[in-house]
Amino acid sequence: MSARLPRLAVLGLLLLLVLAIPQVVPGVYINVVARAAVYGIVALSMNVLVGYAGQASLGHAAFLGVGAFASGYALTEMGMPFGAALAVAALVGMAAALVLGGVALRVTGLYLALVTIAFGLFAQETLFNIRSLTGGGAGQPAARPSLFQGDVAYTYLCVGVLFLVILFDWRLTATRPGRAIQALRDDERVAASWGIDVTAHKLLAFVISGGIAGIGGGLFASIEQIVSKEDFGLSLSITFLLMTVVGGAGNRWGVVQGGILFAVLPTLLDRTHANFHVFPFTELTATWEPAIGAVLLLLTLTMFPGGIAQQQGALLSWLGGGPFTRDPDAHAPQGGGMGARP
Amino acid sequence: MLAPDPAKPVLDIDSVSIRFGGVQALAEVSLKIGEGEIVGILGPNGAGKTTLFNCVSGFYAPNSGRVRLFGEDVTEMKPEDRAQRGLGRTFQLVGLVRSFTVLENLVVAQHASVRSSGLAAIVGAPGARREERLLRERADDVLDFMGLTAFRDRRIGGLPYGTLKMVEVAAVLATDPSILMLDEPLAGASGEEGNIFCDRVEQMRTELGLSVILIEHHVPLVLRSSDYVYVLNFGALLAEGTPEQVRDNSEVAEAYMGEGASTLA
Amino acid sequence: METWIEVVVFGLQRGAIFGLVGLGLALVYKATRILNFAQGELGTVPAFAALMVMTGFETVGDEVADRGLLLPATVVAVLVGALLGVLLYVVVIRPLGKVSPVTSLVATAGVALLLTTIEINVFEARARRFPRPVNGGFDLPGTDVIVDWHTVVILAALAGVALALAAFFRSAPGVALLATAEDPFAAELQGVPVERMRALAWGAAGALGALAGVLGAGVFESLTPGLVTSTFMIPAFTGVVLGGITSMVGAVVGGFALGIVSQAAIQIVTTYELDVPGPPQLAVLVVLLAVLLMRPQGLLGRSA
Repeated sequence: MSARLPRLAVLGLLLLLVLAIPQVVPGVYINVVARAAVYGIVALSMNVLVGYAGQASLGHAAFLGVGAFASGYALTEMGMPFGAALAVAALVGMAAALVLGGVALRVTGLYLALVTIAFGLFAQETLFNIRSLTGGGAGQPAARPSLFQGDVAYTYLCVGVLFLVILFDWRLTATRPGRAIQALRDDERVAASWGIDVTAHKLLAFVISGGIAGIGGGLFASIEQIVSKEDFGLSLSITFLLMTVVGGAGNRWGVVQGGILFAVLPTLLDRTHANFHVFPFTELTATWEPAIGAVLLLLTLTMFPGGIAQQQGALLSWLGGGPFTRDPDAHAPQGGGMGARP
Repeated sequence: MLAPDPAKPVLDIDSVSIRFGGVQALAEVSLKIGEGEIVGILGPNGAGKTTLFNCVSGFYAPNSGRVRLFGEDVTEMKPEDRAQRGLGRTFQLVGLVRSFTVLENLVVAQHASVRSSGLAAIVGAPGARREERLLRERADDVLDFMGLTAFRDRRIGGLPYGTLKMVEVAAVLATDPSILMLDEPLAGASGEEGNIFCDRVEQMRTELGLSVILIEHHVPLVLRSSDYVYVLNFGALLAEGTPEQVRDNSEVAEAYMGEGASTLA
Repeated sequence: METWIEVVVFGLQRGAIFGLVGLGLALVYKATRILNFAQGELGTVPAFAALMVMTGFETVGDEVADRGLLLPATVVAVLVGALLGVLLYVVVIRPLGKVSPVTSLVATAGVALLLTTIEINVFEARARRFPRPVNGGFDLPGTDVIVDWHTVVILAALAGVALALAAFFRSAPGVALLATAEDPFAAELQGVPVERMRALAWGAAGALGALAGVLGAGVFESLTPGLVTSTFMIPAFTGVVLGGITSMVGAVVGGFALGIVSQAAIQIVTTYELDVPGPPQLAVLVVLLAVLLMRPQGLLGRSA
């Protein structure tokens, strides 16, 4: 293919750009970059459930929190090495998601969405208040690994894990388990008629999503090196949903960009305001961030259902090895629960 | 090629009944399909044809009666397990993954035949990669058989209805079924396309060794392609027999055409 | 014994607010098949409007609310609520078109987030004192349990609203509204102004929400941004599901049930000195799961 060389050049340039960010960002904002990488991971976790499996999740902060506290506990109380603590975070995230997945076998649609909200509140108010596990109000300390003590080094670690999760996500959708999960999203009966085990794959989607969120939580814990329950409220769950929908549910590059956008938006608003005073409001600062997110969501749902990914359709197609045109047949990715189906 | 053998049923529906609320949707319906046989099911709208399919494929649990697949009682079995035993079906409303391309649909339909584990596939083990390539090759073969190669990389969302029905049949063929249940495959098709499809069903029997059950509104087409025909009306079996016998059955004609009609033209 | 009477009395107070919020949820669901996550903020925003009336339109100062203005302030709140409800329908719900119930839930969650953010930025993230229409309480005859007069006011308001809704659904516009929900196309053919009926339902839900906001802020005698969403919404949701999502009576009964159950959960944890944090949230999750797994159509709903 003749476009191969320029395509690889652009991809390489993008990669260099991403790798350069932790080096050029001023020290006070470096943790925002780490957070952006973690939000990218969380967005991919959301995407497995919302985009691929078509299940709703309005309590995803709970999975992040479960992973964060599990990692903190393993690091602080059990003295585990960082890698092992991350594995524990993933496993605990999987276990929590498996429980919710069990409910999802019986309860669907709107009702499942309600259950996820209630689950998120339960996690915040009950689970994360169990003093012996989470340190109560004081929070649970979570040290960084010795090799990645510095902020820049730790940020590279987060970005590295994000790339690994993207790689995993790509392999998942390219192979049997991921395809089966997506088949369920459109119509469980059709999937069953092709011999796909509906129960097993629905649970699998929850477990994968919970595992990725758990890893994200483990990384999240060590950004500030302390985990407290206030970090995992309903508004964070809604933010996770916003970034998935705005990014474009079902598209991995879209949701990662959505995650990054929502992670940097508060800081971006603060800096833009402080430096340029361009906004008509005198006090347009980070406190307005959720409102901007909400407006982006409503615009996406009413006018651009495919989100960021759809706007970049041609570019993403070209980078993926296709022509530089938007797939004419590609309707907005029907993110199952988010889809246009009544 | 196997000669059709109704005495050795691959699918045996034994006086199946099902009620929904106060409606008797199926009343003691019995039906047999022999190996390599093509069986048509006729009946006006609401006669219970699709309900019967749903009982056979496991989406509805009948209140009484049994369903046997290759002699095995599958009445209590999950739909996916019946599918893995070689029962394939299409849906009245197209059953495909809409966000996938045609090829991807045919690949995911082969889900049950994959031997290597999901984990091996994700890490890209050589065996799993080889198998992935085989899935694509097989999908291409089926598309070729159905004359759909031109649509290989098109997305489902952008295809016309008649084509979708054919892609759906191809996806079911890709599952490598022994029994194929087709629910109105020709909805939205022209007469010419109907004739082509008739020949293709015959090919499925001769080349692929399939047994086929066909629900279709187009009566002459069913009579032309079937070895044996059942007629359902108000959830009960109204008549059965060879296409000739059914054609000459005045009750059937009345059910279809109303009073006064005596034969199905 | 008296502790348990207290549990019921306090549970009824909370439950009545759950019921008011729940009626708004059930009304909108009945009319447009949308579960409105922003129903809580259709309460908080009007409550802030009431606060402004009572403080002479001061947004961030420490002006004490003038309790004498509570009645006109409530009227203003109800109008603001109704307006906001209609606005929400016209600006968000209608452009959304025909989407899945989960998508519309997500959209209304976005609206709730938007409104909460506006409240925080206009009124600051802090508590403001908010008056009750009637202060004090009385001894429940034969016991030492004190019942707030405010509880009586909420119960009376709930009863009034319930009766008004019952009457409405027997009237011609009420029947028309139900018809638009069951089959919009057929309703349109019969000359029912579908769009206007739906906007009306959202407006009514907004007015209901305003009442819940003003009385709910009275429960705490304080108002904070996002108050109704964070304290009453999820139990109200669960109450509506418990009652059978389209049933008005169910929404009220479910609200009371949730109020008493949450209060009982707190009491049990206190009495037996259990080390269980967040008992009401735990109780709500348990009730929700129990209903959905055992009787998904709710106690009073029709099975789907």
